[in-house]
Amino acid sequence: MLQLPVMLGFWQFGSAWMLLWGLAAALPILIHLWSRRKFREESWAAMEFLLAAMRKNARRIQLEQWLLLAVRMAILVLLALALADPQLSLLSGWTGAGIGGQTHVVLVLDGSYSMDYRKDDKSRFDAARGLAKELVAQGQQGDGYTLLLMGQPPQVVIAQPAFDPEDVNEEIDNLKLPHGGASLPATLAEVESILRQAEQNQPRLTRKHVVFFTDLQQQTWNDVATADCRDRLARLEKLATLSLVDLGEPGASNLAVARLEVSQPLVTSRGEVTLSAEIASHSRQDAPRQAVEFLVDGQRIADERADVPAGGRATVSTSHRFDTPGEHVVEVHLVDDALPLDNHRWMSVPVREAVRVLAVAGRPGEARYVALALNPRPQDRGAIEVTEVAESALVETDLAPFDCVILCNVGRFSREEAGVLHAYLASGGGLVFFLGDQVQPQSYNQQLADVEGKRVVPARLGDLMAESQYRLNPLDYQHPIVAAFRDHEASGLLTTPIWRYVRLSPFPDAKAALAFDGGDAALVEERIGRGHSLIFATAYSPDSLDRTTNPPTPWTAIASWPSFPPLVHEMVSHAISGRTEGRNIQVGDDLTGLVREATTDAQVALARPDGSVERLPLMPEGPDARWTYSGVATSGLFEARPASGTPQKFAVNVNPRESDLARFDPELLPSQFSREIEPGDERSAPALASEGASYFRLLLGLLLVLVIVEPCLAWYFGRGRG
Amino acid sequence: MEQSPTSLDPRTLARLKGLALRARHIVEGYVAGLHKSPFHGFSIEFAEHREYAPGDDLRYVDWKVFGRTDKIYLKQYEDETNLICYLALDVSESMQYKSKGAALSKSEYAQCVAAALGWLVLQQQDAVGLATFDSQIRTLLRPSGSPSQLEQVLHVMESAEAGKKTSAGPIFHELAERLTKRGVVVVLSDFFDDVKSLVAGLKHFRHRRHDVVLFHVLDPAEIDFNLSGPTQFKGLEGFPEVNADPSVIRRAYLKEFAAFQQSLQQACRSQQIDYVLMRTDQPVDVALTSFLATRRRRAG
Repeated sequence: MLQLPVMLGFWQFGSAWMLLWGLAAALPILIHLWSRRKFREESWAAMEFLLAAMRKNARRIQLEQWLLLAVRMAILVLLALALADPQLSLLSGWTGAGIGGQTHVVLVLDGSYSMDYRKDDKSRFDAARGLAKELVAQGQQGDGYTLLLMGQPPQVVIAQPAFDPEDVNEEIDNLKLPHGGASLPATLAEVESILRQAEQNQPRLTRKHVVFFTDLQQQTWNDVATADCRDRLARLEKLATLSLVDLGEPGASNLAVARLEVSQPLVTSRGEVTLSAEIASHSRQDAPRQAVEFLVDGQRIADERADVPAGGRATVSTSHRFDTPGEHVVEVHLVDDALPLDNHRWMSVPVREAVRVLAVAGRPGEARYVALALNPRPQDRGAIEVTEVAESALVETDLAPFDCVILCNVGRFSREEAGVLHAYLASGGGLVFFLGDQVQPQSYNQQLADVEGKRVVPARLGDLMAESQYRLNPLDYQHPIVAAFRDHEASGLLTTPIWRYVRLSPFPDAKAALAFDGGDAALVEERIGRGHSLIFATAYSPDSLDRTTNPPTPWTAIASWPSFPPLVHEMVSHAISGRTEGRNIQVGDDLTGLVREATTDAQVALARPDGSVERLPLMPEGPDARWTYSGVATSGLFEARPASGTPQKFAVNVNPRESDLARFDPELLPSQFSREIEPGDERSAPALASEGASYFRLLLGLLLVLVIVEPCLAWYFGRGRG
Repeated sequence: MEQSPTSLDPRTLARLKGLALRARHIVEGYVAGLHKSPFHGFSIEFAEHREYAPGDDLRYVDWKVFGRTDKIYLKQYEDETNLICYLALDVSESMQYKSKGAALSKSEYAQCVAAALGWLVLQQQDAVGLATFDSQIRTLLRPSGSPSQLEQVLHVMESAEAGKKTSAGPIFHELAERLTKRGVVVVLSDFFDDVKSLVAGLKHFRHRRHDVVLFHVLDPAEIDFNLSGPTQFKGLEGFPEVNADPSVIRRAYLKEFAAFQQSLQQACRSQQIDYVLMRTDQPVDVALTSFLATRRRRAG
């Protein structure tokens, strides 16, 4: 079909030039005017009757004449319209193209990764791009286009209206689908901002249309019901016409790797770890025996099978031992389905030779139970290496090689010590404070708690509670540190004997992992900087004694209790989790890393999954320097290569919530969205562009009716003429 | 195929120049063949009764006998007086109208008919008179039975000039006063005048016990209104010019015209006046034959 040079609202014409025949509609008027000039003269005797007839029927005759004239003109107009082959195209209406006024078209393409859902090797995003280009091609001279990618956050690709269709098409061609979600509220805010700016800068664009190309994924569109979105839409409605092209389809099924985990936060080369992957089904049918492949550093290590129930999840695991310390990558993937993006998941695993813990003893021998609990056989090369030092050595010791520092009954801290601990925390180290009879709460609060911007502990220390029989409350095992004790009551956690403790006042962001049965916090943790700081409200060592009694009584008997070793392991594991944090992020998060002792004029080369490299500047952070890559848009493996030092690997994964392709009910869309294409089999742009209904036959039918009606009317009005 | 015109077809008559020639053509071609005039005189001496037969003139019914016997008898008189036929010819401007397809104007047609009637009356030794009128009486030719009377009549009619507006009502009153002897008054006109005034004048004739016959002479265009295309109607008798599309106005015009004809015919029936419609595209013999046949039946 000849593409339309002329469009009238939602109408497009196969042969628009044929519309010129519509000018023939003026013929009846011209003939009427011409014939008035060509009156035949006739002497008439029976004038009395002629005059009476004209006087009495003047109004009726005039009406009849108008009606006849209208019918005759309609015949010619219908003929011209039929020749022009008009078609009703919803698509053309969305552009707002038409005669009169230029249009500002805001093209909004859904950039959530569900748009990568493929059918016949063509993704929804490809279809959206094709349709957007089709709209641009169908636009009128002088129409302006802005382009927005509906992401999280949204990306404004063309902010000011562009008037060259080729430029717009080029930008559309260059669009790449991010691997993240989409924020409807933020997108609507951007659209409003674009429209208002264009209103000021391009006042000649009198008509405004916003066209959303989306798969109506529930994850994205559920927000449309929020008050914020509704208010925004109400404002947008006053600015522009909103249209929506629905590229989704109901009943789309999908399998995704929802989670990939390593059994311990800091992996060493001295022990096996368990790799587990969770496969999520977003389908109405069971998916039995799905192949799940585990790879480490690109080498397949396991090929498991998962029976994934419809709409449910299944977990597959495999064990693995990393033979060498260093940067490793675990990858798990499924066989590609219609949405391949979420069939892969990566995990960056920095493997150490061992986890190194520094135990600082407030007095000699104070740390020995901790060291024993973490590494019961020091003569063997265990996964955890504990180094015991005295309190006085804290300042001189380089904390960087240690993953965790445990402070056991340290009485007081100097400002220097507090500074060292804070820097250690900021770099991702883990701190664990065990209190005791030497602890001076005032010093803790002054140096570690009440320091603006350099806080080290997660709680202020209060009074020493009077001697009594205290019991621990696991707080429903909600916190990861104690989650392992759930269903293991024989471990003795709840019967741990405690007689004295220091009342803690946790800071707002801190979380209590354990409490006393009276309600006071027993174990508090908080993420400070990139590290984690934990404080236990009482002593773990039997050496802490209450000397007010005779004989003196110990604060606790934890060290001899069976729950102690696992509790210390869990505390250390949690404390050191900061070491690997930031290595595994989701699309949309910031990628950041620390380069030790680097100068700020150095750079970090960041290799992206597609192989491209971007050089990033370094920002000073203490003696080190930090690089940041904001808003990662694609999933995959990144590698940061500092000028000196070891490269670090980072895994960026898609948000598994986006894998759910459940659709938002189009019926629930607010009334502001005026148009919508129902999902169909043919999604190609040309098919959509030309799917307007042809009215050729209808017009010809009407024409035929009028051709018959006209002489009948003329006869009726003239009654027996001729 | 076009029907070949008879000798009395208006188109044939139109080719003959002068009324005298046309009159002779009519008389020789048609009227001379008739044996009896449809007009009868009036008698005072009663002779006998005759039983009524359909078609007899109801004016001669003896109602007294009917009242006594329930039988209808006509009174027959011993001897009828000589008939006087007054021909009243409208010569107003409207009578000059001749549509494009017509061969004769209404006036010419009326003259032909009047000439034929005059000849018939004179042939049976009766007297004929003539009055021409428009808004006033133009000529009044006294009735006479002399053989030269027909020539006089023809001459007067031929030399009559077209007048202006018809004003038949007052004219009829005046004529009724001036035509003292009882007779048959034959009015030839298009009667484009106020019907009430016209009827009032006709009543006056009837009051004077005249037998009245109206020959309503109309052009076919006036009856059928079959004009086509936008037309500027130039009104005769002082009417203004009007632009109209005849095809559009036709229905309304015909309604108005039919109402006029019906009111005139109704008035004639109520006054026992013979009404004869004559289209100028109709052969004169055809027009006269139907009229004469009716009169003859009535005369018995």
